[in-house]
Amino acid sequence: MVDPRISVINQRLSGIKRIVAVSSGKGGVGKSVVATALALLLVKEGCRVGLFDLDFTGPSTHIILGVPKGVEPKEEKGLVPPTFDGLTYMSLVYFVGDNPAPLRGVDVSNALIELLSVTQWGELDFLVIDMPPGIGDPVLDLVRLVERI
Amino acid sequence: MHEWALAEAILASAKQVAEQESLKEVTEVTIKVGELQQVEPPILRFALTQMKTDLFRNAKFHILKINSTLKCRVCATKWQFNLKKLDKATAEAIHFVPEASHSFIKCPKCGSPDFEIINGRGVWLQNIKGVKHNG
Repeated sequence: MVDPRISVINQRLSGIKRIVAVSSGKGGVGKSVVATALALLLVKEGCRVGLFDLDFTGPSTHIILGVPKGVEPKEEKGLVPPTFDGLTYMSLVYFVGDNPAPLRGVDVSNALIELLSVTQWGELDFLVIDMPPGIGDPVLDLVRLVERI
Repeated sequence: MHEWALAEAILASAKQVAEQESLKEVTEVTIKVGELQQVEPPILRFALTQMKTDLFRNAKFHILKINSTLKCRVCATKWQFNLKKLDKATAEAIHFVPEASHSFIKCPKCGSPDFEIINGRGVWLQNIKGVKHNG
């Protein structure tokens, strides 16, 4: 059997000029702050920017950004992430809210593939990805699946 | 995953397989859809017929729904996902990202959120049939 999601991931990202993954070998070093600040600075420079929080077990960019409650992606042949303050923003928190997400490696991989394959980013100059800490399953999956990382 | 995004992925995937197998036409596509995905087969079928290319001009799309089995990793209890027990927002979250279920569903016996989705997760291209190029 073939997982059809894989075949559309790079097509979903094809309208993005440059993908910047903010990563590090350990947690708690400031990746989310750097990713969010970078994304906002690029918006300030007049670029079209997306921010993708893929740190599923500890998402925090929605708190740094102050994403208001009730904001959610729109269904349009997939999911179109909302844009506010000029920034197009996608995160697992739209789906799990404030609840903890106790995910094992295989679940993290599946959630990551699901969001990569369903999110319609459209045309962007930059997509900044807030990566999970370390070099475990999700980071290896991203390197495997996203050709331009 | 949304039905239209899903249809696009299924057709892209089936096209890749057809090219690998040197098929000039695809006549049948069988798709497995897990219960957790809460996909509406009529919408998926409609999306497939609207988006299909010439390669699939006479193709029949078979959509098989697979019931869910969840198994607790702590006490080994098995149970089935029950959509009726969930509010609309939760059901929709699981529809888009089935792993969101770990934030809302717990083992009915011991209450652990650490369970395995044995069956009923995801969408799979099970097989395709078609006509090969001559020679």
